[in-house]
Order: sequence, then structure tokens, then C-alpha cells
Amino acid sequence: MRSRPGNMERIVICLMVLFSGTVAHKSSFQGQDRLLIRLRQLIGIVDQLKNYVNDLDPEFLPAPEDVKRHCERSAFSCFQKVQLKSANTGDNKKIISVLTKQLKRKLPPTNAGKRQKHDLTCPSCDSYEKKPPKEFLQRLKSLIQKVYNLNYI
Amino acid sequence: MERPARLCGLWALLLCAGGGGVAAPAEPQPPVTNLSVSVENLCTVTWTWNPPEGASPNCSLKYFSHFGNKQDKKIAPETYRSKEVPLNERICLQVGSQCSTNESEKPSILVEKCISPPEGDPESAVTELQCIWYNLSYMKCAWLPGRNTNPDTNYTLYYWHSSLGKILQCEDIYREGQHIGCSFALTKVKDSSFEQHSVQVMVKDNAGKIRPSFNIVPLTSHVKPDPPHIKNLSFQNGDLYVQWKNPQNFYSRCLSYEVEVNNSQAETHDIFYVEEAKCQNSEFEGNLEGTICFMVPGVLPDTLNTVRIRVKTNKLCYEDDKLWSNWSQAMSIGQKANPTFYITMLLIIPIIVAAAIIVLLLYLKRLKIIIFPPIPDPGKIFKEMFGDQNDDTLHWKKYDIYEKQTKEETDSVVLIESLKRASQ
Repeated sequence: MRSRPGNMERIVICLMVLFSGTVAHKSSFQGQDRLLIRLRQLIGIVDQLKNYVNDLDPEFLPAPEDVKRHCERSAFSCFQKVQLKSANTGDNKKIISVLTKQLKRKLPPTNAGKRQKHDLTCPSCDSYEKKPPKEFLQRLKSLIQKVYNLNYI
Repeated sequence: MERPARLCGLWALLLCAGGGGVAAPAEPQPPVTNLSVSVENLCTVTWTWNPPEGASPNCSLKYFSHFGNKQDKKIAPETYRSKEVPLNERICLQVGSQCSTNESEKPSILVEKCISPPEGDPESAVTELQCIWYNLSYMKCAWLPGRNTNPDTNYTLYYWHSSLGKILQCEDIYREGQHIGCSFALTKVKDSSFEQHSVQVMVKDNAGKIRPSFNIVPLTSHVKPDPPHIKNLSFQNGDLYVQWKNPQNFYSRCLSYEVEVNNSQAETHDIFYVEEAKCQNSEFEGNLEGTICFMVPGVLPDTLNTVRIRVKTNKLCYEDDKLWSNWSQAMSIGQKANPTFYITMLLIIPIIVAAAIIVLLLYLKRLKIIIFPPIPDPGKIFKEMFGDQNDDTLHWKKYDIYEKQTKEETDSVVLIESLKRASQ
């Protein structure tokens, strides 16, 4: 009679471990799927912004290129920090602001992504070359395409 | 009420003056010195210069540079600028110095330095130099000979990318009709911290008579995958499910697909363009690892359907999506309309019938007479009809096949009278 409660506890612990294992496995897939979906949306947003490139303020913006391995998330955040302003023409101002807002949404985390080197070892945003809006958007698209093709992000 | 306004005005003046003082000196700086240009690898052109002499001491020098037609403007503190450019044309860089990274600031007088393509007649350089990266494994470049060149010219292709330490020569030259090409191995080096971005290619001849031709191939485009392999075709609930395996080296999310279904009976030819395809485990028995699935609607299950698939890179991972792979091996499902079966049946049956007839004809005379009756001779018939009319009807009887010809029986007759006389 004394050993029975002990056995029951062990069974309950084992079941909890198994359950959490399956849930964790599932959530890692979900995390990566969510990231891929977001990346697909981002490429669409960048393509749309490219149509309005003439309405953007021609200020030079930091545009990372040739990003080091495992620094892709940090480079992407540099793109996000930029203030993409529209020039004076008011027609497309609203669309541009909506698109830039969607660009600034945080990327979904993934298990592999959490292991990425943080901003300490990656170059700071100021160290990247500055480019006009057209090249900025092109480099942003290249970075998204590169990340979409990676297996460790 | 006037005083606050005057005070504001004074403040504004002071601020402007102060701001002007903090800002960079309004006069432009002296121009840069010793601007020179050099070429590394095959197509990496580097311009270097020295800082200007006699610049203002407060000025933290930045350099403004742009190419011809004011393209690619850059403001940076480095005293060099590098660019990967195919040296098929003359290219010039203009450099000036300024004190801030502000684009609106007017730089110094711009100094220009140009670099020309290598020696040679521009007409002699090869044309249409194009490269395709096959399945991320090997690259094939092809070109047409230039005008006014000797047809016997031996060409050599040199290539370089950032993972190689030196320029390599391509060994595997081939000829395809008018085009000449060369093939070399090229794989993505995954473990290095630097990825290759593009391959620089140069074609020149061994004798050195023609002008070399250059091309820079970005590694995010011009990719042609290998064809996929169809693993399984099955019908479920009246829909055709196609299961295939993508070529290695590609993620499924980086490819677009085209599924072609040919129906031989209805003679329909449908092509389905698929952006995303995944296998749902529950729908397939024995789901194979790493396969992609697609459901084709509206397929008749009782007829022969042939399926082929091809893939291309999509714009989510690569820069362009124009190169389709070759079609995969076709796979069929449905009733096999076997033509050979029908042909053999068509040949065998008449042969059997003919043989049977021949056998029967030989062995059954009655059958023979029915099938081949004796051909009546009209001359004979008319002759006998109009000839001897005195003939008794017995003559005609021989034409009656049903008449049985009776035999004449002869017996010796003995007269009884002579017998009586003999006895008296």
C-alpha cells in the first residue's frame, strides 16, 4: 500500500514529461511555420513599397549587405529601425505609412533563432553602408530571400 | 507686447548664428590626390586615393564618390572604393572630399579616374556569354565566337568566386552547334562565414588575339534545378493524388511547380501551376519522407492518364524564377490501352479462320462442292438442248445428280422346251 502512491507519482511525472515533449516538438514546427509565413508577407510588402519608391524621401538609409552568418536577425532589425518617410506628395502617404508599420512588426521567434548571436557580436546598425531608398529596399528583399532559404533561422 | 517678439527674434538670430558656427565650414575642401585604379581577381576593380592636402583641421574627412551618370553615390570615410564590374566597357569613378556624411553638402572638385577594357578589337570579343547554374552543383557557360575571328580559335574560360583562393581555369570545354561552352563544378559552401555572392567569368583565347570578355553571374539567379522524381500516383475519392520528390539541394518552399496531366482517350492536356505543395500525412498510406503532394481535380479514373512534373526556383528565395527544369519521367495510371494486344488479336483470328477453311476444304468434298460448285458450261448445255432431240430422256438423267444409276443384272436363261426334248 505504501509503494502505490509512489508509483502513481512516477507515472504522472512520466506522462507530464511525454506530454510536454510532444507539445514542445509541435510548437517548434509552428514557430518555424509562423516565421516562414511572416517572411512571405514581408516580401510582398517590400515589393509593394518598391512601387512607391519615387514617393519616398531620398535620404540615405543604413542598408546591410553581405550579412555575416547568424547575424541575420540583427541585420533585419537594423532595417526595421529605419524611418522610411514619404516625401511631400500626400497621395500615397497613407499607403506608405501602413506598409512601413507592417515592416516594423517583430519577427516570430523560433528555437534556432533564440540561439542566434545577439547584437553584441554582430555589427551595429551604424556600421552598415548607407544607401538611397531603392537600394535599401533591394537589399532588404535580398536579406529576406536569404533568410527564407536558410535552415538555421 | 513688442519686447517678447524682439527677444524671440534675437534668440532666433543667435541660434542661427550658433548653428552656423557648429555646422561644417561652408567652403568646399581641396580635391583628393593620387587617385589610382587596380583590378583584383577578374572583375574586382578598386579605386584608391590619398586624403587632400590642406584640408581644414576641424573637418573629419568623408569622401563622396559616384560612377558615370551620377550612379551609385556613396559617402564614406574610407579612401578606397571597390566594385565588381564586368570590364567589357570603360568605367569611371569621380571622387570628392567633404566634411560630413550629409548628402546636401557640396563636395570638393571631383577627380575622375577611368579604367578601360583590356586590349583588343571589341568586335573580336565573344558574344552572348551566359552562364547557368545547374542544380547548385555545376555551372555551364556558353558563348558565341566574335566577328572576324578564326573558326579554329581555342578558347579558355577563367572563373573566380570568393570561396576560391585563386583564379581557376575551366577544363571541360565543349561545342554545341554554333555555341561553345565550358562546364565547371560549383557548390554552395555552407560552413564558411562568407558566402559566395557571384562568380566572375572571363573568356579569352589561348593566342591572346581577341579581347577578353567578362561576365559576373549572381548566385541568387540563373539557377536551373534537376527534374523531380514522381514517386506515386493514386486515386482517392475521385481525385488524382500525385506524390513526388524534389531535387536535392532545394527546399520545397523555394520551388514552384508545374504538373502536366495528359489523358489519351479524351485527348486533354492540362497544366497546373502550383506555388505551394505539402503532403498531409492522413491522406496518404505509406507517406514517403521528403515528398511533395498535389491533388489534381477532375480526372477520369477509367482512362489512361500520364503525369509529368517540372520545377523552378521561386522569388521567395531567389532573385529570378525564369528557368524551368526539364520535365520529369512520365508516370501513368489507369487502364492500359495496350495496342499490342489488339494488334495480335487482329492478326491471329483471321489466320485461324483461314486455316480452318483450308482444312475443311481438303477433307470434306461435299463442303467443297457447296462452296465451290462446278461451273456450268453454257456451250455444252445448249448443244445438248438443241442438238439430238431423238435422244431419249435417259440422256438427261445424267445431269440429275440425285438419279441413282441402277446396275444391269445378267443371268443365263435356260429354255425349258429344249430341256423337255432332251428328256424324251
